[in-house]
Amino acid sequence: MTARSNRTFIVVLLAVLAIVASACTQTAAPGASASAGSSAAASGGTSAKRTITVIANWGGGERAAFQKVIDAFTAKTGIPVNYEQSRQLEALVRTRVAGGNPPDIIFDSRPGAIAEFAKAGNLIPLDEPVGKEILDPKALEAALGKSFIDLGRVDKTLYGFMFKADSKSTIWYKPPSLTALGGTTPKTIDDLYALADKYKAAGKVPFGSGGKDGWVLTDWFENIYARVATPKQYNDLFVTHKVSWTDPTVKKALGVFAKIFGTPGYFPGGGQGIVGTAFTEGIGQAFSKSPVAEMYYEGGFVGVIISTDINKDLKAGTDYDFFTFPTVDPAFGAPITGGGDFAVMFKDSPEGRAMMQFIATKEAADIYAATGSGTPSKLVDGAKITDPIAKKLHEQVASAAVFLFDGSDLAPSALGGDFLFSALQDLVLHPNDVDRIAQALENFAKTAY
Amino acid sequence: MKGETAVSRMRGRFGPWLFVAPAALLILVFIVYPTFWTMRLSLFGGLGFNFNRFVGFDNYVKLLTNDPQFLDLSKFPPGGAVVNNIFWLLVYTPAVIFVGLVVAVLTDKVRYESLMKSVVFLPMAIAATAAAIIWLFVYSPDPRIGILNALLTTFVPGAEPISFTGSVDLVNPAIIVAAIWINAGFTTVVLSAALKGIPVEIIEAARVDGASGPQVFARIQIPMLAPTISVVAVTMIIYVIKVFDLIYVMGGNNGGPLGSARVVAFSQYVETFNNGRAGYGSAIAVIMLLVVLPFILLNVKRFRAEAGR
Repeated sequence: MTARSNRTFIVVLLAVLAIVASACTQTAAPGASASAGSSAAASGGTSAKRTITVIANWGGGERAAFQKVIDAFTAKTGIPVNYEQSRQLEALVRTRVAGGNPPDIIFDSRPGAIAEFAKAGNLIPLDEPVGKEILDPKALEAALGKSFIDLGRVDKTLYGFMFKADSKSTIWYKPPSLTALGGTTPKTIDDLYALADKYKAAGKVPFGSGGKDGWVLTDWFENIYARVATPKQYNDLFVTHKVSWTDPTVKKALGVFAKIFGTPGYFPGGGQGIVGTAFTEGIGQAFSKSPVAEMYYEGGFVGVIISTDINKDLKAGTDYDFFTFPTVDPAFGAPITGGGDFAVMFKDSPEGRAMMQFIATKEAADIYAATGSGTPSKLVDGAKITDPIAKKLHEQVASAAVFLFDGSDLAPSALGGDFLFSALQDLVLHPNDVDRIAQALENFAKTAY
Repeated sequence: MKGETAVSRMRGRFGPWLFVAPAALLILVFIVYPTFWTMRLSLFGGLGFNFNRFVGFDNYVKLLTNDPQFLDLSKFPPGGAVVNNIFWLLVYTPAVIFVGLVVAVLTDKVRYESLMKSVVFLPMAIAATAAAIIWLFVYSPDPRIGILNALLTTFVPGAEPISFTGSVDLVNPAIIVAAIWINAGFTTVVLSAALKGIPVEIIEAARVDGASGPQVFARIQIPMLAPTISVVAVTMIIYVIKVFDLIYVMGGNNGGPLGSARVVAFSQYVETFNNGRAGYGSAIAVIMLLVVLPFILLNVKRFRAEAGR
């Protein structure tokens, strides 16, 4: 009896396993079945075009700006676009790729991550094969120019089209507040300290923070580092790790960082206030209707966020404005550091190609620039940008002698998108520990490349 | 006639399996198969969900010896996600049971019992993410937003607002309080039901023999609630080992200042999805499974004992 029920059990188990196995082999190749399904739908007789899925991290005002480009695209081609927003873009996309359901196009701000996707074979090349490129080389050259095109390359192949570019060398301030204080916009880091001290003496808090989001701190650090080292050292530190984190230039930059964040009274709530305040809350500290701070450092996109999400009463150029991050060592000048978003294709289709080609046109760039968003496109007619801030930002990026891409986005994710966040928060809370933190970063970096 | 008996015999033999099959199939596809897949993945390095670099047990070795964000024994007190998770176990589990027990016993005899229990239970109806955002407002360092700092700066002259979620020392207790607020409703309801199950005669007999209120509570009610308390405790322990959402929302994508609010499940998420190291993250998942396993076995054993009774 027991023997027989055991045998039955085994038979049933095998049957179930067989079903599972067949289920699994089906899930193992869903890309094929999905694309077969979609092409069947595309050729399904009606003129209905396949909806493409586009994922980016833009929300709020940034999303509204991009939606105008999407609307123009849909109006022109009749291809519907399903826009999904995610602040955890790569986590979402990695899951979808692993699940065999990649999106058509994503806008990714991290070349390091794009390289990871490309090396895993997830991406569609944009400049191959010759003669049948998705993006025409001449149109590409006209839109971006070599330096911005090269940022989208992995080894020699182009995978990303840089659609959005933001300066991250902008310190936002309130002209009326500065005038009332009798100050001027600082040119050097010593000017900045003097201005901050002057605000402090007047009973005000000079800076809003935002260090709960670690990338705000890495952006500060990158600006400082770009001003105490050469562009080559900058790239060697982040991209290849040929410059170590215990290098004198790195320690010098960490020291400047520690001085700014460790000076009592510079930020609301001191060290714990800094690491307890998120990015948008920090903008609010300086620009909300009841502000508690006078300046805020972060990229060009802060202007859009102020005008759409924080305080609509403020007038661009009059109530809020920016100055370029001041020099630290005059020998290295004030290079522009910045970020950007690259359009990257995960799924090849006529509809996806149409979208990629459209966003590279003057038409798309003009629509996008008119919303006040930053674009690296050289095709933009500057006179059509009505917003004074957007115009100034466009000029800053377009005229930049040196444009250094956001370093933490170039480093491997585990370092630039994780460990560096914690390390800089550590430095905010322990400004005297430059040596210890530099060593910890170096120890981690050794395992990350 | 003969065929019928054969069919019914067949039915007798396969019938139960047919009933079990759909559930077994789902469990195999969605639990057993991914579990083994995760175990396999945990032996691989590299980026993404590819099996492209076999590293053996390197991931485990690195996790336990050379990852200060996961386990840091080099300082005192030790740090890292594992230690933090133990802190949760030791503080959160007793606290949430204590709160549930107190509310259950105190409301047992009052007329507005159901109202009180509903109030305590209400947070259970809120999504964890929403609850976490509510608590972020409560803890806000801006006294115009955060009620705690508003009270502090109003009633303690000269006090500086405290950044609860920005402090390495306060962020964990702060999130644990939010977790207790959410789950106390569950412990209250379960313990309250068990309390109602204690026969009135026993308590009356004790009263007649001259037992005081606290004595009845400590000597009769607590021992009779013991099986229920241990079931609730195991449920809460499993919750703690898996806790993620509250930390993700309240601590930000870095898991609190310096990653000080990270727990094991959070590390798994960050390594797998943010950092793209799926093999490394899978190793964390396997460790998590090994830690949860004894508690689940304990629960299964108890269910068996209950069924056998």
